[in-house]
Amino acid sequence: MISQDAEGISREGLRDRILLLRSLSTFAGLDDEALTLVAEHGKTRRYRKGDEVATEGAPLLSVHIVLRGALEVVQNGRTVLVEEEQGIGVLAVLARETSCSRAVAARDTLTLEIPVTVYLNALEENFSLVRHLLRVMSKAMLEARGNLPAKPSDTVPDKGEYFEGTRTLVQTVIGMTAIAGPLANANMDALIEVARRTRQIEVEIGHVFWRPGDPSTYSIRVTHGLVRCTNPEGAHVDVGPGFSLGSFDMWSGLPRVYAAEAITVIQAYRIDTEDFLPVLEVHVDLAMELLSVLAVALLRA
Amino acid sequence: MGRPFRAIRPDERRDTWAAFLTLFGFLASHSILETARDALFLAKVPARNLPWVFLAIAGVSLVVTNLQARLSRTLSGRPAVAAWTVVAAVVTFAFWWLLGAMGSLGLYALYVWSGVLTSLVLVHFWTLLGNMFSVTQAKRLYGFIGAGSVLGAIVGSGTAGVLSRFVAPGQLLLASSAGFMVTSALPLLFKKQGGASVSARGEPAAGLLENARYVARQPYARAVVLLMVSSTTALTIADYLFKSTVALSVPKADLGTFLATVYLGLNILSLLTQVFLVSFIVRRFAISTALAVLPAFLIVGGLGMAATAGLIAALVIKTADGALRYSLHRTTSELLFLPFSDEARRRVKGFIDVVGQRGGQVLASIAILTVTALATHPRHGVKILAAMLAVVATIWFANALALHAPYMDLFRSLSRASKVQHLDAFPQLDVASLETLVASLDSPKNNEVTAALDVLEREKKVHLVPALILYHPADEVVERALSIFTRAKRTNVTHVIDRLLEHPSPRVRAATIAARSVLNPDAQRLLLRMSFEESPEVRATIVVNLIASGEIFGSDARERVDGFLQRGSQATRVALAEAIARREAHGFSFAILAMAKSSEVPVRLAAISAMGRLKSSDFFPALLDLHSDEVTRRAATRALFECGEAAFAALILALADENRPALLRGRFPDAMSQFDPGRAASSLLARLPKESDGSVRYRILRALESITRKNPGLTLDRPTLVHAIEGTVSRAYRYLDRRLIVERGVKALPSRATPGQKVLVRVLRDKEQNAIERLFRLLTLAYPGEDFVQIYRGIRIGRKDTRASSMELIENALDEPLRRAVLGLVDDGDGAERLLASGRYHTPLGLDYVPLLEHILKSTSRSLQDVTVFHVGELQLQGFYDLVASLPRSGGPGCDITRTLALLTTEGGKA
Repeated sequence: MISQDAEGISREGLRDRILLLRSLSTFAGLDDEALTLVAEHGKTRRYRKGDEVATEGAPLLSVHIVLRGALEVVQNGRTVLVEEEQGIGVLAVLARETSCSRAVAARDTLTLEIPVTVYLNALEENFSLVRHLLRVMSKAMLEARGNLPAKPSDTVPDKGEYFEGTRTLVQTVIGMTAIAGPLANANMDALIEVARRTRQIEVEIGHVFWRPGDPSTYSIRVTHGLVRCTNPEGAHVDVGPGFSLGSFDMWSGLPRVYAAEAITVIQAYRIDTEDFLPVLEVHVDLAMELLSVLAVALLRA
Repeated sequence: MGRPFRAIRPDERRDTWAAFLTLFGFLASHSILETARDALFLAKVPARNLPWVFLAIAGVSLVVTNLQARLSRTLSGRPAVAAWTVVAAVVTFAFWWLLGAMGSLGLYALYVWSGVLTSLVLVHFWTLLGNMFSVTQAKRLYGFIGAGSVLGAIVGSGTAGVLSRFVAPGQLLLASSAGFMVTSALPLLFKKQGGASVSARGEPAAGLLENARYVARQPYARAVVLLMVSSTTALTIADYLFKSTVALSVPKADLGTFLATVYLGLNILSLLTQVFLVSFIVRRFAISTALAVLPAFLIVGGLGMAATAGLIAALVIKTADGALRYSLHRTTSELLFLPFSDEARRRVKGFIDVVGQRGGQVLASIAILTVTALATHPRHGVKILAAMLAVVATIWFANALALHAPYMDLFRSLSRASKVQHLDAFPQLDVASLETLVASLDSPKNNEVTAALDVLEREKKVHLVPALILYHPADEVVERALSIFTRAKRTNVTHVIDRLLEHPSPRVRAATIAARSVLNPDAQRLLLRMSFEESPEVRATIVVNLIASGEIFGSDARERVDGFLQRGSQATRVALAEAIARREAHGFSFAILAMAKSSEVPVRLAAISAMGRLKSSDFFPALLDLHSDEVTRRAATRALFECGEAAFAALILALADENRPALLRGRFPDAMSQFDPGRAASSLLARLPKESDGSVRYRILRALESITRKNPGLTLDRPTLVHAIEGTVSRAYRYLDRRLIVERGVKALPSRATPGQKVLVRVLRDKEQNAIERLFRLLTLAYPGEDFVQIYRGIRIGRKDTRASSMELIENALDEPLRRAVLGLVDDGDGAERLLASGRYHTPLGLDYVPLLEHILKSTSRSLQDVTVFHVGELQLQGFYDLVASLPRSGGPGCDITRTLALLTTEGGKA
């Protein structure tokens, strides 16, 4: 049986919800304004073990963050346990899905429920929330892929055509829009800003872009050649043209978790985190598109 | 009629024409029926019996409405309109067939039928349209659709007038029935989805009582009901006044021709009003003003009639009624229902149809019956009723004007459904919250304890933190508590602090020594401790405190600190910075600045924290630069804030210093917003028009939004805002104009469709969108009563209802000429049509393709220049060589200018 924690809300109040959120590592990256936003629009909900929190196929109207207890969520035929500080519905909302997966309280559970529309608007209004999600989701993505940028089972790509000379700004922009991904339909102002802040690099075979433990301060978008990525366990994957390498590490803010080495001549664009972030702050649509791509990938992982 | 035609967009054509034709057919047939009815009724029944008929209409309508409610579960939308029109044809035919046999009872029945008939069909018709069109569409299209009703009434009354010269009035019923039958096919012209909104869901229609409860709960619905009751009461009295005066003044033999002629004249007037006035009034004025026009005329007419009681005055009233009721009044009344959701609209319309329309008729009928019973002479009764008309019309008038506020509130509530509300300020601690906070200090979760400690410090409630927290098993909690006690100068915890000097964690020992050195300084103890302490972190802390207390000085002090800086581990240097911060020891600037440049994040953060504690202007340049890094930005802002006014002045100068990278300057507005809101807002607003970089302008806007959101009472300089708004509107239209020229140019010469041209179009479109978004942010600042950011979001979401609500809010919140220009920017119509709305904000460029490229190359936007240069190269426009060569360039092989110049030289030589 579902019950709203009406008594709890009035007694504990907004301030205590902020305090509660502040104590959750999930929200560690949020500034005061973002924390207040989340606390203000969230409602604490109590569920008894076995209560249905979300119905399969029902319209996706709110997201839940588990504050106490755990939920069992059925995703793609698998049952996943969502525990404290994790959420349900967040990925689906970001992936622009419109219906719920079934979620049931695995034990007596307290959640923070936030309406989807408010959640999306809050993301647009507060970049700290976006940045936080980028960090958390990128980290999850790396973990899901075994600390590699792609699945080792992925097909080895063709190394692509070698471009003679240096691309101009407009050629770079045209190239970015030609490859499917978050940049393909991005606001052109944003894209030009990104293109302006990228550097074209060309390295020889054997060049090591980074090793595990190096600070993740940039990503590269390969336009020609193959890069071998090897995790500390020895598993590796080769990535090629069109691939944005190191972006999960970059957004997660964590040190590199795999080594990246050129196994052919590489032509690529390099962009630093500190050059990319301001573009996302000004062009929230691009940030939301990035989150969407990440969410879709995570849901499939 | 040209304007209404232009207002119909291609995807709206079918439904609009279907609506027009249906209304035309129905009203034409109904007008023939009315002419027959009035001629038959007034010729044989005294006009004083009309009120009984009105009461009968109300009673029958009540029954019919409930019947309709039941049927609407299976029959609604366009099939309902068609089916009820067939019913109209059949019943009217039955009257033609049986009227002679029914006697005078048949005349009463015919009158009642003609009144009930409109309820049966038109309620379904307007509900169908309400579900189909948004308020924005309705404002454009209802004028044209409404013209169908007026035109139908003209054709109907004209036909009746002509026919009545050749046939008896009773025969007109046959013509009316035939008209209804033909009309019943017309609703099938609507697109299928138009009628799906009600029936597809299969929801049971609510009963009258349920609808009444719903209306009672909604202030706006109540106001609409009151308006409908007063308007129907007034119009029923007006109708009676006219008919009773005509019955007294016109010979019975001439009644048919007289009425047909009057109705024809009135309908022509109504058509002229519909075509030339309705759209203008609805677009130009608030809906409440439009609703007040008819009652204003009726007040004047009622007073005139009360004075004279003559046919002329009756005709004046009827003229106002005839010209405006089915044009302006009908159109604006239908607009009143559009802020409701589909479900709410059905409920309110269902209730209003019975209580609003028929209730008004009942009230008017009772009034008429009472007055005619008491009046000593018919003319005397007419005068009293005319005075009553003036009174009721005054209530209607006042109610119409008062409707504006709840009408707008309903749109606002729709717009706010997904709005992110913001707190004005962090809520004050109450006793219950304090209890919870203090209780959190016992939490088994360390981060919950540290969060509670932070809040208590921020709220200046450190005295409530028990000293025993220093025995907490988690080092991080103890460290945090020590720092807080030190900053709060809580000397009554020193006896507990002393017990921590032997703590196994070097960080806790260092924090303990730092705390004790501040709360109860004792150099001898420090020196003693120094002799056996092995941890470099603790030693660094002791050294800092000994230097601060003068026990170590000169080159010895410097060498020791340099030693820690050069050879110390990360932990040691962090401890060094923290010790300086805790002791607030001056003379260590060199060390702090060196650590601020460290590659290790914890060291940089510790240095920043120390800068905040020391509050020296020597640190400002470093603190400003540290805003470029995500991990240090927030701490750097906090440190500047702790430095106070001088730091704020440094931020203003840094923001204006265009030699600094825009990337870095874009961080300063947010930092400034942390300071005094008034000063921050005025400084940022002053910078806004001078700022050349678009991204920095955007950051300034966001910072201003944040400040005004937290300080709603803050007033921003109006002229500066207006200037910025006008500039942004102009910019958006300029981009639109340029894009339209490029698109036209490609249609004229398809070979211009190159990759560069496609990028150019996208850049122009996106720049226009960016300008529009910024415009709405500026409008939010300029009009604090309306949340234009939320309004813009409503437009962007793409849902018909939220978009329409947003457009309606803009229409009502802004004044001309800005209103038209802003609406033009967010209109979903064709670009050329939108450009026409620019008004004084933009003079059309009137350029052809190639001159436009030249115009863009001379603009100040670097992105546009780059893309255009590229496109010039693609088109090999040698004539542009000198212009391209004169543009500032970065040089090198990756520069578009260099590439294009090479292309122009290679391909055809310098022109």
